[in-house]
This record gives sequence, C-alpha cells and structure tokens, in this order.
Amino acid sequence: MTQARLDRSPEEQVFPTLVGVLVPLLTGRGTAVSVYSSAVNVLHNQGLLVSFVEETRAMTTLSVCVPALFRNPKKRLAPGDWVRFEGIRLVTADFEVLLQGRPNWQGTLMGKHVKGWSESKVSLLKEALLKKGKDGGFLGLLRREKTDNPFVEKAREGLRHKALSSLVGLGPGSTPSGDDFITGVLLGEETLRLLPAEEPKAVAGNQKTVIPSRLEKKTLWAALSRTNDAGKTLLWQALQAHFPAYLIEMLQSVSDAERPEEVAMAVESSVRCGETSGTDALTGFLLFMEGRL
Amino acid sequence: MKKILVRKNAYYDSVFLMLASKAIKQHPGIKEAAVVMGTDVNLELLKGIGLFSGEAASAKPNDLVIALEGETPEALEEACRIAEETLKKKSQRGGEEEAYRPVSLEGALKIIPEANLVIISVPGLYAAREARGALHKGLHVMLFSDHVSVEDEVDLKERATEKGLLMMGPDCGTAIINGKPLCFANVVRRGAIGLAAASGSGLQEVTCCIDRMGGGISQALGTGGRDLQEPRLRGRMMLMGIEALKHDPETRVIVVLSKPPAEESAATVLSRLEQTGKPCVVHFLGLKPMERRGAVWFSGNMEETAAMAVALSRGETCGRSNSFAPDKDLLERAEAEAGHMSRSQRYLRGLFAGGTLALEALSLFEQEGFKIRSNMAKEPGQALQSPHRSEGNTLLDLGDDVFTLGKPHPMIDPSLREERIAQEAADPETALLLMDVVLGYGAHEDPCGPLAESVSKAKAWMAERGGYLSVVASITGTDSDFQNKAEQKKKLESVGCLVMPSNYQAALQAVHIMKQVVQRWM
Amino acid sequence: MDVKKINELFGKELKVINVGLDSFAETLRKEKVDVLQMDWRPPAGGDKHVISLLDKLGG
Repeated sequence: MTQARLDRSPEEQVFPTLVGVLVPLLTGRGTAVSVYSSAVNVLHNQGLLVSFVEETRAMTTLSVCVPALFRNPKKRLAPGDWVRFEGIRLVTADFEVLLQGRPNWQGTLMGKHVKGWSESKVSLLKEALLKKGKDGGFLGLLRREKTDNPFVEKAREGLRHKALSSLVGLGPGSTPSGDDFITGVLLGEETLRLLPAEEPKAVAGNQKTVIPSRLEKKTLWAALSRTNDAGKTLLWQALQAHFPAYLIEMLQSVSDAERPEEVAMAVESSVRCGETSGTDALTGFLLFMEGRL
Repeated sequence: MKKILVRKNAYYDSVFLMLASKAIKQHPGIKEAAVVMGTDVNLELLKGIGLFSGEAASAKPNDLVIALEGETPEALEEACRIAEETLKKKSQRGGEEEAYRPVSLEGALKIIPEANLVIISVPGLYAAREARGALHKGLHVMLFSDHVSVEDEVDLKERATEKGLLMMGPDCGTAIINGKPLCFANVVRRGAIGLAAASGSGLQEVTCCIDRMGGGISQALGTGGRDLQEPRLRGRMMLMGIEALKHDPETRVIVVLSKPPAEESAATVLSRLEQTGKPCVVHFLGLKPMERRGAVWFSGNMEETAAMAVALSRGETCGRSNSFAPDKDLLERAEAEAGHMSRSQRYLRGLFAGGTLALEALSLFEQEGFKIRSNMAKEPGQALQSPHRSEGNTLLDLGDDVFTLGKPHPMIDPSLREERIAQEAADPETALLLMDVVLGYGAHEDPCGPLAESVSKAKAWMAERGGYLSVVASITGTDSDFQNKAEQKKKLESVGCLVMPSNYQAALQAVHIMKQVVQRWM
Repeated sequence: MDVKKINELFGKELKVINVGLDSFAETLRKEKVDVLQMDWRPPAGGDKHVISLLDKLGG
C-alpha cells in the first residue's frame, strides 16, 4: 500500500471518517453543484453525484463523511469549484480529502439488519407510514383510492402493468419520487433474499405484487438515462444492492424493535429524509413486502 | 392560460422545490402547477395533462420544469415572477442554508454565534422585517436603509427599547462604535466625547472637527433622521443613546445633534441631558442656540459644537466663541473673489452631497438675510419650480431622492454633481459655487480628483465670457481617512478653489463673498 | 430604560453581520472587525403573501 503523495501541507489535508466504497473507483473531474450546511454535492463527469457529508446518517456508497470540512470556515466549496478524483484522494483548489487507508462504508444489507423482520412488522410499518408519511410524492400508492395527482396515477398504471421501469424519472422532487420508490422496491428484494428461507411466502398468483425479475433489472439499468443525476446516482447504487444509510438504519431499527412505538419511531426518522424521498422509498419497500412475508 | 419555465441544470434541494411549488400553487389565480425535473416521463405526463409547451420540449432530465396554468394572464405573470425570484435563491428554509454565504440570519448566527450587531442596507421594503428579525435575536441594529415607514420605525424602536438594544435608524448612515467606523464614517481619534446624532453627515462633520481640534470620540451613535422630529417616535433612540453615554465610563462629554426637534421630544431630551451629570453640548440645526442650562450648553453651528465639546473634555472654560466671527482674511478673500466677477454674475449655487451640511449652509445664509431657494425648502416661497433648474440663489441637497433615484449617491459617485457644476457654469448669473466634500469609508476614493477637473473647466468657461467663478468648499474628513485629506485639499486649491477648514467656515466665507457681490450690483 | 446591553456592547469586540451592501463589510474588514456578509435575497421574490407563509414556517 503506497503512501498518498503529500502535495499539500498538513493543514490542507482532510481525513474522512468514512469513505463510501464506490468513491475510490471514480477518476477524473467533477464540479461542485450544490452546497448546504451539512452536505456538498459534486457532479462527477460520468454523471454521478458524489457527496461530502457531515453526518454518518447521510452516507451512501458515493459519499465521503468529512465532518472537519463543515466545521472549518476556511475549507469551503462553492458551486462551480472543481474537484479531481484520484482514487486515493479527492483534490480541490484549497484542500484534499484522503481516501486511502480510511474506513470504508459498504452500504450493503447484512443478516443483522433484517433478522427481526416479520409479517406483523410489515403491517406496523404500513400503519406508521400512512400516519407519518409525507404527501406530495407517491404515498398515495399505498391507498386504494384514486387520487387527483397525475404522477401518482401514472405510477399506479405502471405498477399495474408490472412495468416498474416506467417509474424511473417520474414525479416531483430533486430526486424524482419514482426513483426513490424503486430504491425501496430493490431494498425489499434484498431484504427478502437475506431473510431465513422459511419466511417468504409463495406469492405466485398474487396480482398486486411487483417482482423485479432479472429481465426487469436489465430494463431498469437501461432506464437510468431517463432520469436526472440525483435519480441516476441513487438507482445506480441500488441496482448494485447498495443502499443509503438512512434506509439501512430503518431496517435495523425495525428489526430490533420490541414494541410498535419503536417501529413508528423508525418510520418517523426515515421520512424526515429529504422532502418525500424517505416516504417514497418506504412506500416502494412496503408495496414489495406486502403479501410476501 | 399556460406558461412553462425551464431552468437548466438545476440543483435545488427537494425541500426547497416543495416550498416553491406550494408558493406557486397557492398563488391566487393559479389553477394548476407542477414543479418537476425534466425527465421524459415527467414531460410526457405534463403533455398528457395539457401543461406543456415548446420550451418544455427541449428540457432535459437535469433541468427543472415549472408548468403553470393560470386563470388570468396577470396571475400567470405574477406567479412566474415569483417562481423565477424564488429559484434565484440558492437554498431553502427548513434548516439547510448555504454554508458559504448564509442567506438567513439563523444561518449567519450558526457561523458567528457571538454576533452583536447587524448592519442592514437592503431595500426599504424589506429592511424593517430584517431589523425585526435581528432585534428578535437580541442583536443591536444599525439600519442604513431609508424608505422605511414611520409605523415600522415606531414598532422597531418600541421593540428595541423593550429589549434594551440599539436601533440606529432607519436612514442612519453613520456611527462609530468602539472606535470602529460603520457605513459612511471617518477614522477619528478615540477619546472622551460621546455623540448621539439624528444626522449622518452632521455626525461626520462634528466628529471630524473634534479630531482636527485634538479631541477624541468614545462612541458616536446614530438615531435615524426622524427620531426627534416625528412626534410618534418621542426621541426614543436619542434618549437610549444619552442614557448609554451617561453610564459609559469612557464618555466625559455628551454631544447631541439633530434637526429642529418636535417640542415634546426636545423637552424630554434636554431634561434627560441635565440628569446625566456630565457636561453636554446640544446643537439643533438651523435654530438659534439657547442659553446654557446647568451643564448643558447650546452651540450655533457644527464646528462650534466640536469646539465646545473639546474644551469641556479638557476641563476648560467653554463659551459661545466669537472665534468664527468674520476675520480680516475672510473679508479680504471675499473682496478679492467678488472683484473679478462680471456684472451679470449675481447668484449663489450651493451643491451639497451631505444633507446636514447643506442645511447648515442654508441656515446661515438665511440668518444673514439672503433669500435662498432649495429642494430642502420648508416654505413654498422658497421651493424651486424644478430642482433641476436653479433659480436665483439656489442651494441643493443632491443626496435627495429627486436626484438619486436610480443613480448612486453623490458621496459615492461625483458624476451627478459634475453635471450640475457644468450646468451652473453655463449660466452667466452664477457667481459662486459652494460645495462639500466628504471623505472616509463609504465615500468615493478620490472625490477631489474629478471635482477639481469640473471646477477647472467651469472656471475656464466663465473666464471665457469675461467673468470669474468663485468656488468655495470644505472637506469633511480626517488625516487618517484613506483618501489622504491633504492631497485632496491640494487638488482643489490647485484649480483656484477656496478650501475652508469646516463646513460652517466655508458657508461663512461664501456669505461674505455674496455680500460683496450684492453690493457690487446694487 | 435599561441600557445595560448597549453599555455591554461598548465594552466588547464588535462582531457584525452585514445584510446588504458589500462595501460596508469591506470597510469593517479593513478596520479588522469580525464581519460576516449575508447573501441576502428578497424573500419569496418579494411577494408579501408568500413571505408571511414562509414566516409561519418559523424557519
């Protein structure tokens, strides 16, 4: 393992606490596109958004957790600033973030995240989501009644025709609701895969379910070009079974929950993510999980 | 009717988009609205529901599309305007702000939690709201903005007095706190004289005179122009300022400066001053000074205010001085200046950048029996038909709205005054130009450079026609101001301008030149 | 009339937030005053109705 070449003085080096596993795979240039008080998004020239985040909770496999960046007024990025991806580090005009030798963040599901899941927990999740979920996205899909939201109805139609990929890029939000929804579905699929074999029920003949077959996955990959950078980034990871920290945390919390209130708390916490992202992802997860456990 | 807006490569947060969407949807007269990324499937859908147009066709997934359907073209236009403006903001409410340059006070306080003063100079329409926010957070306020309503000012000052905070303004252009010049202010010596003033350029003039005379400033607080004049305000901020100066151990002399106050406010201020236990000097511009009351002295002009304050701060005897009675030199200069003029030259043209400086000059001329027209005139008989055309003796505050709407203030940009100088020079009846020059922070970096050029040209024109244009000026500034006062003075003197040590002395010199002029054509 | 806080200000170092003209912040920086420049925009494009709605968010 070679030592990262020290072009910079020690004050200009930033050591992340976590590095998303996919970040070191990227090389080339990127540009900062949005700057917030606890996150900075950089658009890599491949069309993926890589984020510097302050909190572990905001991690994805394309994020780097660098609290130091957000506490130091001298280390700031502004929209338009360049960032160079060098695998072992990320370089900007004012500082560099060392990636090599730092703790990695996998973002994959493991047995411990799902072992406590059961049919009753799925019901509790649904109940909590209907109560605490944010409207404006695809929460309407959980309810049977038709809505006057054209995006929800379009999604409903897509699901009816078992064409999950028709939801890519669909809906409001800086990450379109459909992309969050699909991420939730993929999360459900991965959850089922990890559950002990006797749990999943046979679901042949259940017309309401949406099963991403291998064929559908191919269609989903092909559909990536139909959405924006944020949606693409999310789905690119989810299709590789890499999920955002907040969703993995939700799974873990519900798995560990001993009382209904704890499930409700886990849901409340997840739906705080973004505007409707959390709600949409959980909606997708639920619609997949219903009737399968 | 429908309208589609497309914002290319939009990187906005979802929370923000949601708020923008809500704001647009709730706008009266909007039937339908969608705020979505321009993905194919979203565009298809918009087409399907009839919210589509040519612009939308070219939208890409990373573009933001705002589709609106309004009941009337006006509602649509308004909603579109709101959408555009809201999107110009780079962040949104709900806790996340741009770390780099905060867009809200909350965000700013995260970065600088020990903040103690907010300086506000946003357009008047929004200024009161910002000031309220600052006071609410327990911060002192300097409100530079004008065009704030009296109602808002009353409300702000009530809140401020309740919380014991400074609410300097609105229309407060100058303050010096802890020796630091704020907004338009000069670098002055630190010392024992504390000031509370309802006047920006007045505060500058007095503090600069104090500095010139060897005295120093502890604190110089602004109250906003209306504080003593508007009865509803009851001089609140002036009273707060006086009280604070009373308790300030650094302050040994208190100076109060204002345009003529409303009666009740004057009475309260004077009694409060008497209770401070410290010697005070009061100057109400344009009013004849009253007799001393206890330790409260009254001065006749701004330079005298400074002189009395400095004397008091040194424990010297202080009286209304005669040192500014016309001396021999002043009278000789007056004769010399007038002597070169042609018979047609009869009138004064005063062109001022500082409102209070203009007022002082105007008052002096009137006291000396001249009839002066002005854009500051209180009586209709002294108003101008058009402020852009001088009539007889004319003295103008070029910082007035009528001149500055859409243009920079003459203290910042000399071109406004340059144009007027040329105009006056072309008038064969112009005898004398009287002007002020203000240095210090906020002012032009070289006000006398362009001014000297204009003066030179003006004098040349007048000379061509067989006359002589007299130009008198004063420079409000200190030797520590970045413009280099000595050099500024040299520039003006090199083109034949008489530069006097104070605004009052310049006005006095001008008075005597004009007296000579009047004598000549009588 | 309690002016304690004003007198406290006189004894402290100024820490300023500047809302508006950049030049005022520059002046303060030249005088070595700690000042933060805000990136002010008219709230909600200046629409009073929307401003009051945003105010209700309490953000």
